Amino acid sequence: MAVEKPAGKKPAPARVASAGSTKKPAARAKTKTASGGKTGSDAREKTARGKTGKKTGAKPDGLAAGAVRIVEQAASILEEEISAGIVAAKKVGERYTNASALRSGENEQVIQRFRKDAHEVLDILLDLVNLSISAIGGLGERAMNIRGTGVSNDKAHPRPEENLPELIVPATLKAGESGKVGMLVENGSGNATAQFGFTTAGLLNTSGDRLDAQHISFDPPLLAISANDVEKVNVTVAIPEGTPPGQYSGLLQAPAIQMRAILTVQVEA
Amino acid sequence: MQRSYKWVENTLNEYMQMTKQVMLDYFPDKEPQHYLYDLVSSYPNRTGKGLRPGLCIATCRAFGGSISSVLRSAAAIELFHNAFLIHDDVEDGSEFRRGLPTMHKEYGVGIAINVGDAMNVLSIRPLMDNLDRLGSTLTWLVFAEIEHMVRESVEGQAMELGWVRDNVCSLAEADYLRMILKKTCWYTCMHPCRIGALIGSGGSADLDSFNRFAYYMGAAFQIQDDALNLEGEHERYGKEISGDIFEGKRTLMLIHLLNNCTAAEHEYIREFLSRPREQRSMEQVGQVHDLMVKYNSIRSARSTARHLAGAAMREFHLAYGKLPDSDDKRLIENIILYMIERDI
Repeated sequence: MAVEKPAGKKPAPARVASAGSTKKPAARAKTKTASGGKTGSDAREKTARGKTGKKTGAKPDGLAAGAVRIVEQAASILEEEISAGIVAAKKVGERYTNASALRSGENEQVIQRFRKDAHEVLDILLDLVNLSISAIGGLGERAMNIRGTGVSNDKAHPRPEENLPELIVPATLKAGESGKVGMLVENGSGNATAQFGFTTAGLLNTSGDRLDAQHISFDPPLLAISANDVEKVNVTVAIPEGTPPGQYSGLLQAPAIQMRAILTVQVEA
Repeated sequence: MQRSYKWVENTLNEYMQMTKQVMLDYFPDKEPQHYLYDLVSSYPNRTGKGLRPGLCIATCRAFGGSISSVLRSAAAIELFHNAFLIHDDVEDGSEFRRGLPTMHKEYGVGIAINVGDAMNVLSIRPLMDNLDRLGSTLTWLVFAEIEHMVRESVEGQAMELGWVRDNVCSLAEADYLRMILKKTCWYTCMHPCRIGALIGSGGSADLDSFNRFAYYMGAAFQIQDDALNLEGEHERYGKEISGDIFEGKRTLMLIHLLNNCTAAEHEYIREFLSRPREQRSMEQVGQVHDLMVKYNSIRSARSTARHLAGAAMREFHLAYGKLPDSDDKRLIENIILYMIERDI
């Protein structure tokens, strides 16, 4: 059988700068929020599951970046599956046993841990560097800086993930309503990015209530940014009927360009 | 340089032998021996790494529990595991398992499926017998863990079988990660740790705190296993080398290759995978293997396994960090590196 030689299909990795990063990136991408408001959109997020045809790095120097991306995806998938599976299994079990009574009053701690799970993705990646399991050449290239309206800068209440920018849906929403917050994603490098999309594993409030990823959508869902160019992305959060009130937050990611931000929305009764 | 993991291997083997003895105690000594009960010990008697009982027992002991309290649960997990393997070998058309012919190759598909069914049934009794030792609440909670473990595994297996059946060639890494979470990680690492912690702590442990650690370790283990299938030595690895390519398994390496090769190469691989296994030649398997080398698909997968192991190490300290130091705690930590540096 004769097979063709590869046609240099590996896309150049997106090189972006990080807020808080001490490394000066060779290229830079920024995201700024734009004004947003309530919309009637109920567009659904296209999750990582079922995506097809995504190109991955093949060159040896792209191995680490590809591996980091996979670890990142693994964290999101685990959270999705746990919320869909083990929680349901627990509900069945609790009909027959009082499992929580066996535990020593750590429920709040468990909930807080669960809420933070998405945010800890970044910690995992950073810790990988320290562990030095292997050379991770790609890590120095990643991360993102988000500035603009709707971005939290509350220095009085620092958070473990304070280096992550926060996108806040400006309006307080009720069940059945939708809110929108915009981002301006700037590619400050001299190279165009490959086409990329955004993902989220959903949002959680402090009581452990969940706003599933399917209620968060991105417009456009996929984009590519030319060299030294800016693209606007609208993030819409639709609040389904029956959603308990509270402040919901979670991690928003564009794995292809190593962008992360905290998305927050306030839901009232 | 590769570290020595003799201590890890010896301890895992010690826990495996204890578990195996409990398993053997549950095998009926009655007819039909020749076509059933003589065969149920076939897979357990073959040399395995003992990862599942090792994690289960070590986690229980790290929480202060006793070996005797967890052995029946470890035996049940291992029985389910061996039942999976027998059925899995039939479903995948595999020829070797742990260095010997697979059950269906030696005794035929019908016998093999029935032996697997018997092992599934036999795994229930030790869980029922937990009642005397653990009490009704913990016994039920262990049952619930096992039920979830088995359900996730068959769902993951269904995903993989479906991809092969329909010759799906447009998968992404995320699809693979979800599949191995369901097919492998829950029952190889996550539930053994959760059940060990459940019993060792008397029900007070936060079981969800083990999910991340065990998932990352299980994923690293599976990817390493898939890489060994392509590059290992048959005598040490115990399965046919490149058997996964023969079987058309959607490994991370194959997905990487399909996502990076040229259109002509993609079509060649797709056509190769569309054939029944018996119509795939060794030469074609070799060409697919060569393409994986050409596009660094195997190196990429090994890199991913190392990174996942790194993430597992970080999560280990979160899940086990507050427990007192013990040999069992150190064993679990060392298993992480052992799993990705092993060549078997």
